[in-house]
Amino acid sequence: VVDWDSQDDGILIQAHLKGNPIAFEVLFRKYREQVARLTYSIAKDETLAEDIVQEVFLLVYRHLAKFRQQAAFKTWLYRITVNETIRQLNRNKRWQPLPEGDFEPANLPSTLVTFENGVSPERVLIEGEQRRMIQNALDAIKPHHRTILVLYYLEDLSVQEIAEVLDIPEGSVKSRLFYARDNLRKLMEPVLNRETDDAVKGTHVM
Amino acid sequence: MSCSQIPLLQRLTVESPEVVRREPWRSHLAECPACRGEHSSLVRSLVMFRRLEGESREREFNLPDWEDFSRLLDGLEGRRGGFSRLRVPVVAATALMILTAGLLFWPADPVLEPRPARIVTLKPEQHRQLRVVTREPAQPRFVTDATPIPPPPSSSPVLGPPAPPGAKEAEVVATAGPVARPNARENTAPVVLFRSLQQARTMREASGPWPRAPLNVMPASTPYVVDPAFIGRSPHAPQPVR
Repeated sequence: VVDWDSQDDGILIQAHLKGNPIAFEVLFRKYREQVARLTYSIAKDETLAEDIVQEVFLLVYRHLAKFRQQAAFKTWLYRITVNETIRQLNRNKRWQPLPEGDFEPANLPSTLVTFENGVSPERVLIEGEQRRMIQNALDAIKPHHRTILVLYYLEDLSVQEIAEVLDIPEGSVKSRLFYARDNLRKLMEPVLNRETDDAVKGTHVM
Repeated sequence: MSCSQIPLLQRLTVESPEVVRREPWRSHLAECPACRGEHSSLVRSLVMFRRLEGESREREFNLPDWEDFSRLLDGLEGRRGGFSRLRVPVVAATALMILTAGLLFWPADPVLEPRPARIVTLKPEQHRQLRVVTREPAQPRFVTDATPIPPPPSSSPVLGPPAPPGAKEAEVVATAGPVARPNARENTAPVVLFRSLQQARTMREASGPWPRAPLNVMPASTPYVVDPAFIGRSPHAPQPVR
């Protein structure tokens, strides 16, 4: 008896192409949540993330025979997911950047812990309105910047893997990463500056 | 404020922010408040991004399970099989019929093929929209509207008399001259009417400076007002339908 769940992707793909009825099911169960999470991170739309799983795996099912196993299946799957997500977003016109006022730090409560004070940023406590403001700033990241940040920082793909997913040269990935980071920093700067000012005044709360 | 000595963010174009942990970046950061501020801002932004975005996607999605998906696959496969077995011959036959009909009834090129003029009776209020322009008495040409036509130079056609009652409206395919709209009151320049593009080109090449004007290819159904007295007399005038 073969334990299909422990087989690697290449063996599962070969088995599926040879007519094994279990192999594709294992791939589906293994990757469906990753596909949904990746879509959600890019599109910030839960419904789309849930819908796109079906579309992506239909595409995978139809085109799996064309998949060249020089690249990892996960990279190929992510490529399909990113393309399908962007296609759906363009079709539905869901690229709607938030108005700038939403993340202006005018009424930001001063409860952030600063990096300069020696407190690890991993321990940052973000709650309530403050969290909403920061989240709004994060939501305002441009989609193409968001895509590359998600692939690099959340999916932990290498520059080479991102180049394969996005079908662009590695130099372009690095360049886009720079601009994405810069975009992120500029969006977050008002929030962070406010937090730093408050910390200097000693008004922040831990 | 940014550092004038070492543009940190430019450096980060090709490196990751973690590069600043290495020398000489650490020593530079210790000395330069501008770079320190930029780097701190960047790192904190990335920390926020990782933390909040990471948290927000760790949610419970209502995803299709394998049973749903396999039913969908079965349905698609079944539909595709039914299509190939039953509908392909019907689709092929329909396509063949459309192709045959297209070959048999495809209309001739409305511009390159001479078309018979469509002659209709001119309305009384349209009489004055027609003027006859002649370069020589034997070569009448037709214009759509003559008010106000500037006095032509000696080598240009001259303005003829107003259109007589009973003038006709004819279908043309091309005009030579700056006027594109027939029967318009603002048309002030002479226009020559042609029944075919070839005729218009020949005429234009053989003529002097006028009517070597822009050649306007008109829709085949464009009606022009013509004087029936000149139909058939000019090689360039529309011919009546027999």
